[in-house]
Amino acid sequence: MAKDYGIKVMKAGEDISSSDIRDILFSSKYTMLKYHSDNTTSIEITYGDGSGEIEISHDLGYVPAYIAYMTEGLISYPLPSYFPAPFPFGTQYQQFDSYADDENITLRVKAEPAYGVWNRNFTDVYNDYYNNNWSVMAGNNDGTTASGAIRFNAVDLVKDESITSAWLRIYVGYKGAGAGNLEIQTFGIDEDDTAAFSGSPMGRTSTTAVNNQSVIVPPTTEYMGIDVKSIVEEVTARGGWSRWNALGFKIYDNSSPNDVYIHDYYNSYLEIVHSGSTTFNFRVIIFKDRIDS
Amino acid sequence: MIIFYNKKTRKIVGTVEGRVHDDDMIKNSMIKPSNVKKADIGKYVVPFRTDYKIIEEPIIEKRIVDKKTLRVEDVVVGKKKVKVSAGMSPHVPFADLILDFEKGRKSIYGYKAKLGKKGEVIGFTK
Repeated sequence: MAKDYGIKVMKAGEDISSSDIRDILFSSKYTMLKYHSDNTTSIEITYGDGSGEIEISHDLGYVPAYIAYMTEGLISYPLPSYFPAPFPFGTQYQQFDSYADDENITLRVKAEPAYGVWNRNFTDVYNDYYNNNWSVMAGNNDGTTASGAIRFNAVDLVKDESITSAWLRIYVGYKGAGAGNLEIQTFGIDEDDTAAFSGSPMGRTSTTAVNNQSVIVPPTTEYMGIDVKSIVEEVTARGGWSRWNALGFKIYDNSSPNDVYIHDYYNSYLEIVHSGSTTFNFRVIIFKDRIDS
Repeated sequence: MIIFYNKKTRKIVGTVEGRVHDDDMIKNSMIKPSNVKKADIGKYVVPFRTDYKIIEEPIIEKRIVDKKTLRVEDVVVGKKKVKVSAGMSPHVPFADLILDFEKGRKSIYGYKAKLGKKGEVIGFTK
């Protein structure tokens, strides 16, 4: 019978013949995990981005065992972790996970929507073609000029806040059958906290900032973007602006070709990307389970 | 401790914890954002040195204290000064900051690498 040579180190008080792995500190008979490295890292995500990735090289040449945590102060969350909110500016869902190959441990962060992005569906609209507050329309509707306005309440911007971008996303619920570009001019309503629409708001004071746009109308069910960054910055720089005030925009036809217009009842929204970034910290402990070659 | 930083932004991107690393670890370890090239990441290995202290130890000799039974006992015959290890410490002018990073008293990710004229790390700054 072959003899069982080797080295075994047992916990104090445990019998050398025990086969309970919890009693064995070391055995030359088995492959055992050994500490390789203890790493920390962080992922910084600029507002407007929805994901980030970082690689920790281990140089072992095989896929190692490892433990990865996301750390917040004294608390560590093992990955993968899934968090709802409560991160800034309304991030709805974020996921932290990791994977390994024979060179790296890769950590990933993914958020939906992207970090630092605030968006809100409209709260009020005006359509001067139909003279009602049910929808927003802009362009030329079969030979008749159509303009409109759109309002968003409770805007998450403090006074003079620096922003990366601001876009009106106008949903193309309906469009005209004409050919050529939609020609529009978009102004802000130059008021501290523009009131809800009741009838036409087109007579309200306009901002100096204006966006002149000549654009091919996207297919129905898609969105058309209007860059309103400078307009938003002008209104939020007003002396009476404060966080959670309302913003309004007026969209005028600017000699669009016959029957080139957009029209939406429900889905248009304002999207603001704040300036800044958010950082997540991680710790990764990597183990060896083979003899170095 | 091995500290990785972005050469362009000087921001810290990762660390390998510990005071002693083998040559392979020093040569081959790398932590970097996936969208950044290895060449754009700097690696700083914090030099640690062993500290020593001098302590007094008794000089002990064996003496026969009972000639009939030849019983031997340890007897203190004097004192001697010996040099012993007092642990390790960072061998840099900003050692306290490194110790704060190690102990978690300060987050290294709130700091950037401070570089000298030749691109060498000469400290860390907020």
